Amino acid sequence: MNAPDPSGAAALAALHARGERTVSATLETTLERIARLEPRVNALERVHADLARARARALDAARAAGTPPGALFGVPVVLKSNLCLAGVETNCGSRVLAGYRPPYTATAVERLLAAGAVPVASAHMDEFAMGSSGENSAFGVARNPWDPARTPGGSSSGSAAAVAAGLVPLALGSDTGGSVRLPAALCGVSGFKATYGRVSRYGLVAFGSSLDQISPLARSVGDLELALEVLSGVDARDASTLDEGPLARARAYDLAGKRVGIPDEYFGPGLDARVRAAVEGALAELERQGAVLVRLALPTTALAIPCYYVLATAEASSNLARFDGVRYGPRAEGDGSLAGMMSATRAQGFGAEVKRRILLGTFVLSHGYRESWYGRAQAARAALRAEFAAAFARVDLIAGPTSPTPAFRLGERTGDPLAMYLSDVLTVPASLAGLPAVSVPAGFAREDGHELPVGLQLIGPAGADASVLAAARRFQEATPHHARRPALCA
Amino acid sequence: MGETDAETIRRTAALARLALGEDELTRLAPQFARILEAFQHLARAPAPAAEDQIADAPPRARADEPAPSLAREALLSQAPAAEDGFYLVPKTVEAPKGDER
Repeated sequence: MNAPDPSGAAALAALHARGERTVSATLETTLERIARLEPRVNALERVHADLARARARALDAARAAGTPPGALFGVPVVLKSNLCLAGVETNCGSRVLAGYRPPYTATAVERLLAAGAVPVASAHMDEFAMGSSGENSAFGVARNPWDPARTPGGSSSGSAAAVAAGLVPLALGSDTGGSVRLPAALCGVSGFKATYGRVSRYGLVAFGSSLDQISPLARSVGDLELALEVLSGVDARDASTLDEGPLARARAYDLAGKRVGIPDEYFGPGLDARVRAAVEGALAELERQGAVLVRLALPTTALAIPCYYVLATAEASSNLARFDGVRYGPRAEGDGSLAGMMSATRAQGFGAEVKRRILLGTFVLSHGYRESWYGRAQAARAALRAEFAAAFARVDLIAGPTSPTPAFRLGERTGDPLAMYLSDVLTVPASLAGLPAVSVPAGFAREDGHELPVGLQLIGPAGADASVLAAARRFQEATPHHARRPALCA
Repeated sequence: MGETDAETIRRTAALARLALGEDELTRLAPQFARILEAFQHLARAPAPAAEDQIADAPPRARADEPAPSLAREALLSQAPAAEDGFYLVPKTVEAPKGDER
């Protein structure tokens, strides 16, 4: 069994709580590491050094005064730039929100703060979380620490790269169609999207409201479990949160006798052979621990990409209507009329992919097309959910690859939106069905002299978050992949 | 499921309040057509039975009680233009003749 990661969130919090190291000392080490590695990784949109130092001093003083330390006491964290922290620029990687300082803090971030975490930086991301490579950012493109010529995956590109580079042990991203699981897989870290409603969305700048979930990234599943204990729970400010208390981890979970579904559709012809081999190795490990592998058919998977891109863009076209030069960000005057000002502000403020998605979403909701596009996509979503529900009557978990390929080169798919959309083919099904899903490192593919991480995805039935995480933890306890570090970050 | 020529994109952009240049329209139209073409197999999904089929349970409503909300000044502080406690936007109503202000 692997020893706990001494630089992980749980270990660091314990170190601070015991008084063996001050929060300020950890923070300075973190800031030095950021200064050293950022030129090569470019994970961070901005570093909040002064804010973090003040907070670290306050935490050290509180501990000295006898205040009981929280579960993430003194743990440095990175936030995706679509998570509101009062007074700190939260621009979603978009010029349309440049300079926006929210007057309030996201519930998830408030819960991190209450547990003693120290936000040290905002991470680069695809503009409004729309992208699979991090390249759709107005402010900078994060690189994959395993090979800086490649994408860390998106849209939580900087959050994943920051954890993979060891800048911080824990980061928050958001996962709408795989935006945490995909970069987790490509960066060799662990990322978890909870059951829809498990984590409050209050203070997350909305993209696809029926899909969005704030989701943590860490180097170990143990740290994800710790994060979920802090982040989860009902919130009066988000009516879609599940009416439940914080998640309790399944400490005694055993894979023996668990039935693990292997959908044929997740191992189709588009799957990279090296990814297939690594994931098959991971499945063999589950089997070695006593799990029973069961072949499954999930034929509606074939509709998942169009279904997702119709529904998510429809919701986005509505959610992003608020960025019109009235309430936030820079304004363009246009022809001087109100409509002209709005159209010009949006045309100048949004990047190409966001415009493409707003147009697609507006189109599928428009008169004459709504039934044939939005209506059909809603029906496909219902069918997909029913198919998962039937599958989970037979199995406890569903397993497969997180991404069909290892990390691709920056620039490789930017000219072909459709090819970029297909990167999400294995992550959007769980999003559409609102299911908990985790990605954990399962092996490596060698290319251009670099080791490129491969992710294993485990999906569970709605509400089974603790079991999904526990199964992933059992896998990690018996495998070395998550403990490997990119050479660049030694 | 429908065609997407430059005119459709132009109409959609107007609905979405996006001022697109001719070059953007020219670039987007074929991309749009290709994406929608690739999504045609959505037609294989069963016909939609009812609106909002995905909602399992109605969202929980909070108690109808007054509670603190964000201060007006805090929100207005982020606006590109504000005056006397209001957002400022270009004039939308023409003043009647003889009533210049």
